[in-house]
Amino acid sequence: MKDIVAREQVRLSAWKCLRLSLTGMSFRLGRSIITVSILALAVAFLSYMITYGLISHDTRLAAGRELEDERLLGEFSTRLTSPDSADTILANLNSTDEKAAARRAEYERWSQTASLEEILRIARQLDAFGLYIRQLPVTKRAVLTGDMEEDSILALARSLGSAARLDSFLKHLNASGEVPMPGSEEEFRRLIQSGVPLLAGWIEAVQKGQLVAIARVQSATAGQDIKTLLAGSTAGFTSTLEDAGFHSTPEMHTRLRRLAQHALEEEKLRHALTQQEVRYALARKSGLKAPQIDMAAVLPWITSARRADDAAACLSPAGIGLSAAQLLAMADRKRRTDALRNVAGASFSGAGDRLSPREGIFAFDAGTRWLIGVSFIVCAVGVANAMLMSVTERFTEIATMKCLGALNSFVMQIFFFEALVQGMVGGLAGLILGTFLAVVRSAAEFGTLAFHNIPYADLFSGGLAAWLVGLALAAGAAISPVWMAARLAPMEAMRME
Amino acid sequence: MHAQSPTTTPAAAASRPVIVRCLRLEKRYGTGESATYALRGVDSTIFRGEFMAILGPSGSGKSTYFNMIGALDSPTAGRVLIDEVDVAQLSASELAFLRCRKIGYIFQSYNLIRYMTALENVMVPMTFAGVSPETARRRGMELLELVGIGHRWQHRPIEMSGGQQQRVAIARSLSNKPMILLCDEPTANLDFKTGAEILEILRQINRERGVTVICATHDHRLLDICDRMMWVRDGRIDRVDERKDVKITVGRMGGQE
Ligand SMILES: Nc1ncnc2c1ncn2[C@@H]1O[C@H](COP(=O)(O)OP(=O)(O)OP(=O)(O)O)[C@@H](O)[C@H]1O
Ligand SMILES: [Mg+2]
Repeated sequence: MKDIVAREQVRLSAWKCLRLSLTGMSFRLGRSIITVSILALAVAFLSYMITYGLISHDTRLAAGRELEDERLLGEFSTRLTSPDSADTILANLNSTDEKAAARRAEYERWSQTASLEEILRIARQLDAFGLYIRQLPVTKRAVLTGDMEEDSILALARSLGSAARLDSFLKHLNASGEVPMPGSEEEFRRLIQSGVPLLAGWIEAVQKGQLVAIARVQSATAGQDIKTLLAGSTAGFTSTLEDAGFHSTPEMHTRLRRLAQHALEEEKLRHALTQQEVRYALARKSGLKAPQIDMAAVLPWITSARRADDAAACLSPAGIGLSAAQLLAMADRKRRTDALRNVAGASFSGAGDRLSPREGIFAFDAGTRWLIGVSFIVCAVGVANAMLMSVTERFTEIATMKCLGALNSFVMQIFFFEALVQGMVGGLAGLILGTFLAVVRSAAEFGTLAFHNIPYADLFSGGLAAWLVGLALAAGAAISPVWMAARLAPMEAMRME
Repeated sequence: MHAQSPTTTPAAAASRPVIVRCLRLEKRYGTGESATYALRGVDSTIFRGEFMAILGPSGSGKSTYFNMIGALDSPTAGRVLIDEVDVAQLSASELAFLRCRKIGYIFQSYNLIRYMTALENVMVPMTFAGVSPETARRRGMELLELVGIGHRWQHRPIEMSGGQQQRVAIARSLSNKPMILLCDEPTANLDFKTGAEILEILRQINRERGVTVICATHDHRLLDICDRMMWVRDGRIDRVDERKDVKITVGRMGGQE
């Protein structure tokens, strides 16, 4: 009569396991709260880094863009006075941004080339060669380029025009034992001997075309000041530009007009500030010393409509016709530009990297990525530690449950659920805390600018990622020691502590 | 499998069914220099329905033996057969089934779950056995009443004295109506009267339900209840006595107390 052994133990449903582990947790609420708090802190740290990284990245990027916008006027005026340099043209051929595309369209017109395809191919090859040269060690580079200006890859390529120089260059390059050049030697020779001269010829054609265009604009406008023209921005001037082949859009003209008007106002003010009586009047009003009076000092002083009125009154003898409202607007613009400059110049990581647009939530600059990586490790260690502590002190409990007939799967499940619940609650609390702190810091650092460019979708995915990381780490860190203990015979587990 | 163990008379072995059998059982703790042999080749036979007392000085290996025959720890060498099935052959699930429903354990250190109340502790094995919560609750209360701490059902282990915890452990061991009851010093922390009550409960369970009771103890009152007694010394079985043969011995030991 055998009636003891040889039957399978019943499996408890996941729902039952969940209920049991919730009861367990509520009984050990105090201990759970400690674990959850540590989890929350770890996740808070990570989510703080991600959130702050995202906000500061985008704010700085937007500030940089806005500042760049201000430079539009200068760039445009330059192009209306002298042709682009060969290196600028080459850079515009290889760049992918919108502005460069507009430039290429202009070049196409001025050079009167049917298709840019061949030119673009040569430019790309030359660019690859330039990248290759730039990654060589400095000493190698010095030997190879000799006294050539290595900033200009076009100049370097042109200097290799003679067969003798090209041979000696290749000999040095092959002897240097560095990473081999992209493409074959054959291709390179072809590039230098036929490609580069073609490109150089094309560039000259572009520059000549641009000179002609500049001359046309100048004769049409009878030598008037460009800023004044832009500020007026008549339809006639716009069509003159278009006829000459300068790329323009109505939107760009609106912007240019605004910028030109601002520039003219500033010029007026600068001019007025050179006059003695204006300086003394302003000094009296503002409490600044007369020799200190200049744009940089006066504009920050104009902080209210009242002061703007005073300043306008002081300026009236100069007869420049700047109203109080204009002065106040000018002062506000300067404040904004200064703020933008501060923000754009500020660097989260201290590495001072040039910012480029993000693609996705973690594609930051290298420094920020590094900081987030470190905070991830801190988070992982924190979570793992909290969970390990809360699990190892419960090996006796695991052993007891196994003595009383618990299946391994049951033990695993209740600890898993517990870790999951703790991870979810702790993660959520940490997420709220971390995001809050990041927003506070951004506001303190960037002022209202921080709230103009909040990437909500990315913040959401970043937060979700931090939360999931906390959750996965919590579950992983809890489950691995439990698995170790649950596998053992009950009394072995009992001795493990 | 039916090798004659030195502790069994051939007549007894032939006539009565064996429920737990140990063959050349060894247990070593640790390795190398620090290795301790807790059991050094134990052969024993426990018959179905008997009340076996295990006696021996502290550190002689009683708890270790208890863990082995309860399928709670793996022996270094030798075999444990429960109902003639080698425990080492059982799957994890079958072992869990065995521990849950067929064997009741009263641990020397109680091993109650700290955060559960007395009643919940008693309900644990029933939960594992798939008993409905209502039934488990009712049975748990009955068992707590049986061991005399029904009024304490809501208390956690830390809120109870050693003796009260021990009684919760006893109630828990009975929750799934085991076939074998393993007790490691069930009366160690009880006063004289409660100890006697507990021993009476064990006796009843043994006599009325036919549960095999294996009980490690220093309590000599047990010698009056048990059928046989096994004397353990230094990880070996010294001898096994039938109670009727040692009536005189008990008297002598009682005199020594
Ligand atoms: N985890 C362990 N590691 C090392 N040695 C152990 C371990 N557990 C028990 N021992 C040793 O094994 C021997 C037997 O221990 P065991 O606990 O079985 O004795 P016992 O007879 O139950 O004693 P007591 O009457 O005090 O409960 C002792 O010498 C003890 O030191
Ligand atoms: Mg013991």
